[in-house]
Amino acid sequence: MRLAALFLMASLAATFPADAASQGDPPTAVAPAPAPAPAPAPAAEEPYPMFGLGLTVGVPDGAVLSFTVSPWYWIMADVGFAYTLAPGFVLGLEFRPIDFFVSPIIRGEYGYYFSGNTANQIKKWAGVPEAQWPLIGDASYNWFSGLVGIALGSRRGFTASIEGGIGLLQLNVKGGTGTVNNIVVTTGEWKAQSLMPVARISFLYFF
Amino acid sequence: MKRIHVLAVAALASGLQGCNTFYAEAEQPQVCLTLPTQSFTIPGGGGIVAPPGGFTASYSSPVDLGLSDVLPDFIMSGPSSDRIVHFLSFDATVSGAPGANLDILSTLQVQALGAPGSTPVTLAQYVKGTRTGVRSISLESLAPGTNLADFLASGGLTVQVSGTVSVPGGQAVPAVWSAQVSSCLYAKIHKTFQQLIDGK
Repeated sequence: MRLAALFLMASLAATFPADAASQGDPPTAVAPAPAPAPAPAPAAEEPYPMFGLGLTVGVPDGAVLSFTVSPWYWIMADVGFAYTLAPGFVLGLEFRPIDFFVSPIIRGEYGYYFSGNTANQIKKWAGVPEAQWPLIGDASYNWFSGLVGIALGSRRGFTASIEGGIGLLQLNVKGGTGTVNNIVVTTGEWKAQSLMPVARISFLYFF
Repeated sequence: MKRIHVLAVAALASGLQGCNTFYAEAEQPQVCLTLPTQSFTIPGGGGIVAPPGGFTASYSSPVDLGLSDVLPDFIMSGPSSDRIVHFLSFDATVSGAPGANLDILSTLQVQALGAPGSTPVTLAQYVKGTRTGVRSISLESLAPGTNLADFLASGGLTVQVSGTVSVPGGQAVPAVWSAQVSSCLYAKIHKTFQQLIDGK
């Protein structure tokens, strides 16, 4: 009977260990509560896409398919293949100072069109009599322009813009020789120049 | 006036102002015309022999340079204030039988004739020198900066070719002297967009 009681008491002691402080046992070191896990760091913002493809329609640009490089959100350079009356190219430098859905644009560009069907169109638009057509040779043209405008859209995807400004267009037309009403005529290189308003609408996708 | 009205008027005024700022111009630095052979009548000549003291006569004849046939209308028509036409050179070259020459020409003068009563402009002048067997006379303009736009009539330019001939005694006096005439000119036109819109 006495041994059973002792056995029962030992079992109970193992199951319910005594509180050392309340029981008078010497205090034991208590492991400090683990520090709360640090809040996860905000994910680093992805840089803006550096490249883009653009489609532009304008005057005197015509239709332009361009490739854009933009190392920072506020500046971009583009080079495009253009076609109106003949193939050509357009180079542009653009500033978009505000990183927002709506941003102003300041742009400078240079374009050049090779000779193609330009001369024939000039003869028709200028009302040149057919007898004088031999006096007008191949024609090419180039221009410099400055534009301001506004862009709408996301720098991480698609933007649309509209711009207007002033351009200096120079037309270079070769001369020729022909006989008109029994008169032999020889013309030198024609020169034409126009200070004109310019405008363009562009759609640009960054990737 | 509401603010939006002021902005609209300002935009319109700016656009109209721009129409006088924007321009288009075309330039032909040199257009040379070679006319068919021109003949100039020698008064009193033809079928006679110059007397011992020689034969002298004056000739004068208009020559249409045919500009209206070779330059587009937008250059040759319209107010003279928008156009510039400069005379650059005049050439006369004898053609035909070997040995033919222009030795009988003592003087030759090219003048632009404007409206009746206006002062003609001397464009080129020739005075015979000591050289013989002259087959070609090339003259530079004496008035390269003179704007001949006011001398254009119906889009064309007519010049008066005049001078004197001298035939030594004993030689046959021809009825005419003939040569192929050519001339080079400069033309330019400048129009603002407002003028183009107005059809001027």
